[in-house]
Formats: sequence, C-alpha cells, structure tokens
Amino acid sequence: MWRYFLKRILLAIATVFVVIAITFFTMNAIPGGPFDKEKASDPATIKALTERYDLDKPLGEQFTIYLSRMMKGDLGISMRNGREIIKTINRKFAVSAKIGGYSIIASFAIGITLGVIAALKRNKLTDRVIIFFTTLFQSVPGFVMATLVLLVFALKLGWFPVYNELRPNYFLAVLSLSLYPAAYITRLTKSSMLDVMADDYIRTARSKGVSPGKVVFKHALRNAVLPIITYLGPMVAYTLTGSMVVETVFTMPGLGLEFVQSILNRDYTMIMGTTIFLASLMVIMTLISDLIYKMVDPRITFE
Amino acid sequence: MREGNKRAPFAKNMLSMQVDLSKFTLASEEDKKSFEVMRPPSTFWRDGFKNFKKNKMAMTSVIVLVLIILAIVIVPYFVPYKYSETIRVDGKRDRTVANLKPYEWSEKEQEYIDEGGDLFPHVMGTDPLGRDYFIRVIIGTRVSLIVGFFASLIVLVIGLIYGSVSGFLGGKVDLVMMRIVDIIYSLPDTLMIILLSFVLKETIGKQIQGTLLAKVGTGMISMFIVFGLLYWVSMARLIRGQILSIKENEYVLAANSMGASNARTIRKHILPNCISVIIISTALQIPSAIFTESFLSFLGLGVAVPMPSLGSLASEARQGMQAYPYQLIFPAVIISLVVLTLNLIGDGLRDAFDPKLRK
Repeated sequence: MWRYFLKRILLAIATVFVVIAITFFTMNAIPGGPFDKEKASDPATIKALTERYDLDKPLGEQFTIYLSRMMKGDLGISMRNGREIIKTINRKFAVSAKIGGYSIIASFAIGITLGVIAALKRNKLTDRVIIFFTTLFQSVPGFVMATLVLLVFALKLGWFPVYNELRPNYFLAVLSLSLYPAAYITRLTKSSMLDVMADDYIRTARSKGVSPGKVVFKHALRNAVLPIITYLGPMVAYTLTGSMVVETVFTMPGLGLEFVQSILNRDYTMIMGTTIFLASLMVIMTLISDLIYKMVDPRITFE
Repeated sequence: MREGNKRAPFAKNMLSMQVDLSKFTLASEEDKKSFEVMRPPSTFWRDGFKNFKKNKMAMTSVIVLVLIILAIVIVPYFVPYKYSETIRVDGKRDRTVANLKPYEWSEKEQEYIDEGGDLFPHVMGTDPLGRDYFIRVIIGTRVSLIVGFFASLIVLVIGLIYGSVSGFLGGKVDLVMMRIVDIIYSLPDTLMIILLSFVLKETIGKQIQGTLLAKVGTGMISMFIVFGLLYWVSMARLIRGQILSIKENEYVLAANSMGASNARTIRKHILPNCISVIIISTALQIPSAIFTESFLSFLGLGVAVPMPSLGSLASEARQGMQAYPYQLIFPAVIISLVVLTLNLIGDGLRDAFDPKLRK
C-alpha cells in the first residue's frame, strides 16, 4: 500500500514539474519581449528592466531562477499592474474557493440524493424525469447555462439580486456551477446503486428481514458511494475551470475572472502564475481523491 | 390397469424402460420447424444495427442530426445573405438593419418591399453589426460540427497508432510509452488547452497571415494541435488495453496455431473485437470537442472573426442579452441539440455494439 502511495505521489510531483516546464517554455516562445509596447521606451530603461528581471540570461538559467523563486512562494509580478502575483492569487482565490466549495457540496448532496431516488424508482416516471433533466443539463455548455440562469432568475424574474460586492449573493453562481456535476453524479450514483442492489449480500440482507430503509442506506448506499469518491478529482478540475465561466458571467472578483482577464489583457506573467497554481491544485486534489478511495475501499488491490 | 382381452404389443412390466410406441406419432414438417433454434446467419454489423434501430431515442437523434446536417449543407444555397457581410438594401447601406427581431424588416427594406421588391426574410433577425443571424447560426453550426468531427478524427488516428503499437509490442517499449501517457493524462487538460491555444494564437497568428490557413483561423488550428497533443491519450490507453486483453484470448491462440498470419489475426480476430469500442469513444469525443471549442470561444480563443461558431455566437450574444435574448437562445438551443443528439447516438451505439459496456 505504501509503495502504491509513494508511486502516486512521485507521479504527481513529476506532473506538476511538467506543467511548470510546459507553462514556462511555451509562454517564453511567444515572440516579443514583455516590455515591447506600442510606444518605444527609452533603451536604458529597457536594459535596466531586462537586467532586473534576469531576462538577459539564457532561458535554462531563467527557468531555474523561476523555479527557485517559486519554491519560496514568489511567482513574480503582474505585467499589467505590477502587483505581486502570489498576493493577487491569495486574495482572489478566497472568493473562488467559496463558490467552488459550496458547489462541490451541493453537487454531491443533490447528485447522490437524486441518483438513489432514480435507482429505487427505476423505470418509473420519477426516474425518467430525473434522467431527462440530467441528460439535458449535460448537453448545455457551462457559460450558456450560467448566462441563461442570470437572464432568467436575476434579470427577468428578479428573484435574486445581480452580484454586488457589498452584499454578495452566491446562490445563482453556485447553482449554475453545480448543474453539470450534479447531473453527472446523479447518473453515476444511479448506475452504481443499480449494480450494488443486484449483489448477493443485498438479497441476503432482505431475506434476513432487514428493513428496506436499512438495506438501502446501510448496505447498498455505503458501497454505491465508494466509486463516486473518485469523481472528486475531476470535479475539482471542473469547478476550477467552471469558476472562470461563472465568475465572468456574474462578474465576481475571483481567481477565475482574474485568469480570463489576464488572457484578454495578455498579462503573460499572470497567466503563467495562475496556470501553475491552478494546475498544481488540480493534480493535488486528484491525488488526494484517489488515495482516499484506495483507503476507504479495502477491496481495491494495490498494484 | 389393463383389460385382459386387449393386449398391448409388448408385455409391459412395472418400472421397465419399455416405451409404448402407439402413444407416439411421427413429427410433421411443421413440428420440426417449430423446434428449430437457429436464426438466419447474421454478421457483427447487421446485429449491431438491428439493436440500434430498436433504440427509439437514438433513432430520433439520428433523424434530428441528419436534418441539422442537411440544413447546414442546403440552407446557404437558398439564403441570399452572407455570414460575413452587413446587409445592403438595393446595394445601399442601411443603418436600421442592426439587431432586428426575427421576421422584422429594416426601414429601407420596408420601403423597398413597398415599392414591389422581393426580399428574403430574416428568419432569426440580425446581429448588432447588421448581418443576417440565420445564416450566421447555420454557418456556425457547420463550423462547430466540422471542428468536432476533425478533432475526434485526429484523436482517433493518433490514439489508434500509439495504442496499437504499444499494445502489440508490449514489454519495455509498452512500459515507456505508457509512462508518457500517464504523465500527459494527469495534466489538467482544460488549463493546458487554454495555455496552448493562447500561446499558439500569439505565435502562429502572424506567420500564417495571407495564407489559406489564416482563413481557418488560429483558434481552430491551435485547437486541432492541442487535441493532437493532449486528447489522444485516453484513446491510446483504451486501444492498448483492448489489444492487450484480446491478444490473450484463446481464439487468437487458435488462429495462430492453425497457421493464420499476423495480418490475418489482426484483421479477422483482433480488430473486429475492438472496433466497437473505438467507434463508440470516437462518437462520444465529438460532443466533448464541441464543448471545448465553445469554452475557448467564450475566452476569446476560439475561431477567428468574422467566422462564427455556435460557441462564439452565444458568447457574443451575452453583451446584448437583456434586449435581444433570442440572439443567445438560437445558438444555445442548437448547440445543446447537437450535443444531446450526439451523446444519445453515442450511448445508443454503445448499447447496440458492446453489451459488455452497458450500464
């Protein structure tokens, strides 16, 4: 077991390193220096800036400098506003983490509940309605969904306020971020639940006279939920990219909006810093969810 | 109990195995037929399509998708407007032509019609730049479908070659090839796509100016490159796994022992057994590629203007969504319809061709 853990951790470290390398070298492949502007600057200033940021050194050396600074938690400064990137990430990520956290909890709660209902009412009307809506929600791109939610619930019906910083209301953002993963988890739970319900130990429990409620919650659900834990990793990845969409649509000041804006502004250093931060987060969360899965389910064999 | 004068042909003892033949009659031809359990010989494909035709959802989806494809092929020949040009009335520019509602005419168009002119209606109205929205949605659907199709094709070709080489050779080569796949697989794909699209847009944008490729747009080219670089790994894994498990089957051993050549074994025994998995995952790749394209369009990294895609149309319509919600609704409905039908067809194919994968 520890060998497997070690292997996975090493793979994760290798992946993060590859991400950093890809990000660094591809961003440096873009022609034109960071100080090229429409107006020609004073050559002396450019020289001073180039030396200040070690841009006169060979690329390999720049990479090691970047890496060693990153170890100390320094991702450089934004090319647009000159602020320290790590501070911006710290500040903005709080908002994204809040939306993402709520959304993950909501998706799992809604998805597992609906999935169990759909499995128990198999082929009945309830099941069909649930499956119809989950199929539908999985066919709409995230930004279209968020825009429609904003249009209908905030602008046309006026049930919820449009986001403002003084009185933040996360409901609509969390709703539009949760629809897709909740739909996915519903289908996952349903099929996993149906698999488990067909198992022998369920029949044994029933024939022993265990109450139906106890069979569903204690015997079936506990085993059916296990595979769903593996979705936690992809779910975090989806939530982080999804937060780019909902934060842009609802104009919430999170890291997602910051990232989208840094792409529009061509803020190279900011794109680099944010990509590395988000990518490492995704890799770590995938690792954690895989490890948890292996720990809670003793039936899984370790290679 | 038996009557004494009516002797049975055989003296029957209790518990003997003797059978009273008079109780049996010969089976007629009809009776024989009713016992026939064989069905007419069927091929793998015929079987699959028979199953597929039974699936109502999937068949409806096929019909809807065929209608959409017919529309994007035929409609541009009938609509006299161009997707990239502002509408001109009688060769003159018209200021009131922007943001028209469906089937609405601009002032000059109305005058022209009153004078007896004949114009094609704006089925979906016009966009903020005064371009006919119907033709833009049609062309956008065409672009989105083409992107989805070619992206899946790239994934299929690279994944098939890489996966089968790794699966066939096995051993150390397989080990090294799969470690590479492991690393690429664990990369956060969406972020890498954004990064690579951004970089490619900035780098190749200037180099291809004026060539035919510029017309396709850097967004689309970089999307294909990114798909070719990143998305093939799951296909490669799938195909390698298939080939590894099929290689071990007894019928492959049997074929080999009867002297079948490698080529014949691959063609007759290995390929038919993994082709269904390949088709299904390729079919399910198309909607995911369409999704990715629309997400990139949302970030401003999609197809190049003035070329529309469903994603870029929906994304552009966000600005005026309060006043002109239909500009958002039309592409949104079509993109959902296309993705929905493709997903249902993919699911239907999976159920029909590979019962093992059925959930």
